[in-house]
Amino acid sequence: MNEQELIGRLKRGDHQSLKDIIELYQDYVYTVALQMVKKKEIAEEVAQDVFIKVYQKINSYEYRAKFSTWLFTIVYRTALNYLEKKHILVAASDFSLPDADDSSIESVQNKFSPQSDWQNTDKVFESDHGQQQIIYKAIDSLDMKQGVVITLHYLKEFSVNEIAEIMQISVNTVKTHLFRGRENLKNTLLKNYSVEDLL
Amino acid sequence: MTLHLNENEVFDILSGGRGKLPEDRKTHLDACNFCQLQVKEQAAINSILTKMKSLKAPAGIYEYVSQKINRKPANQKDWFFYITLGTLAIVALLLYFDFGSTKMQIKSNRLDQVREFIQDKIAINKINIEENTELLYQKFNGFFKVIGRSAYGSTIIFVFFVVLFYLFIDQHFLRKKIRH
Repeated sequence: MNEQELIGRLKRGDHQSLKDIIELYQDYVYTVALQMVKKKEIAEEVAQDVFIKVYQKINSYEYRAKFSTWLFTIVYRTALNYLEKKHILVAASDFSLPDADDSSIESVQNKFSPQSDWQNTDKVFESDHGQQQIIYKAIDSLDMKQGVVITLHYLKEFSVNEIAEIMQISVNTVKTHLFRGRENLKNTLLKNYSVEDLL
Repeated sequence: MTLHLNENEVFDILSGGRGKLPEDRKTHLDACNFCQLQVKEQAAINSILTKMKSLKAPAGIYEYVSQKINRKPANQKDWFFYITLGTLAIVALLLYFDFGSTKMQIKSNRLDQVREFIQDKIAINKINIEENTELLYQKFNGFFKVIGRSAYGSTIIFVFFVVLFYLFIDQHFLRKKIRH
């Protein structure tokens, strides 16, 4: 059954198609969410919330964009909402607020959870352990937006136009994030690993 | 002086080859070691990243979502919480103004209340009211003493059941997460 049929059936309230869609996308959704929120438990919550929203809002999906673009727009916004909630928690519990020019979500996120689950555990990796771990650890060190752009582009093969739509930024900004992300990855990877490890 | 290749131009080279560049930029690329190195490095990282695979999501996402959409919507959790909180606040106010016990004091004593109850419910000519009232009173004296005669006692029981009701609702219908 193709994706369009699945969506059509989901619009008619078919639960089996929801199951199929979740099975089809859950790993990607979880990966992008974890890339953003850094904690496995929160990424799992984000993934759950995303699919609940998909079920609740599927009738507002009008086939204008690819379903995956629509889905990952929800993923991105849901994860951002979680980070903003965390921002409020930090502001409420910590008098040393971030500096004015340091108040981006990424900086708050880094202050709040300096050690992400990707750095702490190997359990998130199931296959190609070594190389995948190297890649994800390197991506984890990136600025959040660079990391999301890289993940969406290389993992789910979204075009720069689709990523721009998902993140509500310009295409040129996406290209800049890609370029700088790769540049930072180069520095991180080549500093810590040999070429043989990487290829 | 010619500018080095920018992010967009590097992106174009990686996605479609140098053919996408205008002639003057191709000329610059051929002559500029810095740009050649940059393109080479970006291409190498690009090649590594194409091997990226997704992580494995935890099991049970579908089960959780299915349970959630078949029961209460998430935003109704707040309503249950506020209703419970409101009920507790009203009970607390009643306690504060000693509403129940004042009312109890105005009325006649418990024995009279039992008598009135029996008169209301049972045909008077078929039983000895005094005898039955006494028996009933003795039987439930302990219970009335603790609960019936005390507005505080009955309030505490009421609060207990309200909290229990909320916990039941929360546990069975409004849980935020399923732990695996």
